[in-house]
Amino acid sequence: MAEREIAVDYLARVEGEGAMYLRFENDQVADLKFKIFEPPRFFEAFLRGRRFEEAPDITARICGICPVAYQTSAVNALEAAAGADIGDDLRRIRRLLYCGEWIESHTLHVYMLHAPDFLGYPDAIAMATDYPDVVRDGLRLKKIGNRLVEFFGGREIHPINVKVGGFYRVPTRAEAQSLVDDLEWAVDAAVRTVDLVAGFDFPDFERDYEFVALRHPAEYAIDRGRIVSSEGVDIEVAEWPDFFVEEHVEWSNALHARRIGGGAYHVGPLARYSLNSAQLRPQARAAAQRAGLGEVCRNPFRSIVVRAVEIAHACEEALATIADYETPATPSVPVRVASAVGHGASEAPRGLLYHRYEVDAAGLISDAHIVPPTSQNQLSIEEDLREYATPRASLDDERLKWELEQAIRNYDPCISCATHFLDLTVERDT
Amino acid sequence: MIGMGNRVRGDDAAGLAVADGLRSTESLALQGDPTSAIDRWCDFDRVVLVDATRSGRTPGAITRLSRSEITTVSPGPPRFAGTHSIGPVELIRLAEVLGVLPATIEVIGIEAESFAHGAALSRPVSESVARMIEELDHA
Repeated sequence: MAEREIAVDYLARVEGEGAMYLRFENDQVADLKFKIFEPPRFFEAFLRGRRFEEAPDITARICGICPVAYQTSAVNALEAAAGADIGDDLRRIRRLLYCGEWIESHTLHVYMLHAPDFLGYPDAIAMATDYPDVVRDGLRLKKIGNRLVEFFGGREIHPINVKVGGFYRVPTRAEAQSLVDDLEWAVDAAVRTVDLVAGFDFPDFERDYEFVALRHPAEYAIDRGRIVSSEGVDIEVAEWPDFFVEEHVEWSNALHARRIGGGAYHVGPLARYSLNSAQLRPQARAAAQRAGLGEVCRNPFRSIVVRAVEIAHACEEALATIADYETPATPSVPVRVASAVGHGASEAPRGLLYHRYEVDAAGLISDAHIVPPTSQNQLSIEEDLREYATPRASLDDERLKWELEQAIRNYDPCISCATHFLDLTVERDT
Repeated sequence: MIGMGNRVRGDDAAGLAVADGLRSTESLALQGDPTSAIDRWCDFDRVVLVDATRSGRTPGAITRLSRSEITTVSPGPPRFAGTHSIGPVELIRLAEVLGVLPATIEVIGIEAESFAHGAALSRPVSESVARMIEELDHA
């Protein structure tokens, strides 16, 4: 029997520690594992016994790249538990903060982590030798994202200004106008980015995913909406546990999520775009059309184009929101949570992020459940790897490793978030 | 002077402690996105980066690397994963290819004793931090 093993023991250009193992028997994939060995984080346990007001600051610490997503899903859940509504003015600021995080996180992935794959470089530093202007644009765009997060969140990593009910302090209209020049440059730079990455060569590979994302009638959903899927799911956020389940597998420190009674599903930029592309802002939508994305995108390698489109959308959205920005009358509304259960979700850069909290009569958290996007995408990642590798068994080990690592990076997996994993091994029985 | 590190990982905060202590030298305690340092140092002729090291030397030992020596340092696994893994060596390489390196750049490493979560600076590292502050402020 022909056996061949391909292993990547430590995946590069992903956030956190993971590996991939693949074993062929007679050119058929006999075993495939996307392994997350980053140690478990235990955040849900840390939250038990803490006051509900602490949830946004504790959960922000789960990720240095997407803390705003954690804060937003947490406050959404706790405000839902209290039946509180923070109103449109404060919600707009949450969305501005979130736009900053999308710009920062997507720019890091598009320019520093993913573009080197397509241009044939081991890393962004090597790429910068031949494409200095591209890397400079990327660094400046990312800095603008950072600046938005710092401006509305109090600091660029692990913001401190988000509270249940709103913010500790909100900027004035005059202060907010200082962001306009940067954002005007950013919209143009983001559109240039779409045009640049749309010209990359993409493998001919499409999958029939079930896409899952938030949807809201008024906007391209980021911080609110119902959970919908390309297979007809259309539910309140509170119904997540009735439709999805997380399971432990021995090769991963991250739980695997799947549809109850079903299989893998796909969250993130491809899902959002495929479900909600009609709601993109005009320049982002026009750039997507020029890039040939169509209404639905099922090629995960083109996720770099969709991320670039979402950067453009976030820049346009932030610019338009600041143009209309009025200083809110109050930085927060009072919220008291007691003897209640709340569910919250938002669209983290990597996809749907679901939180559920139980709060006791004294306002202490008695149970917390956090489902990050990467854990929801693990099954989909493994299925992509299996389908991608099978017809490419004739490739030599190094080439196959390189392409499979890219297939993983399509998801911009945030292993640190999901562990609550990357290394790649391919084995061949020949 | 730019200090790099993490305030909640013991001696990893050495570079930040030097930045905090400087009085007559322009300094930056860099905890966020390391690439933001590149924008800041464009305006300076001489930049000193201070970070903790793990080389097996005596805790507190000070290593000085000139620009030509920097490329001999092992940068760790070949990755560029944003805030968690770009160190001073990668930062300087990136600035070099982008043509934004200051005329003089130096990396000073202070050998750490412990990177324990939540720990204060160890005694040998504190002493070296004080020595670096004194030296840089009076340079």
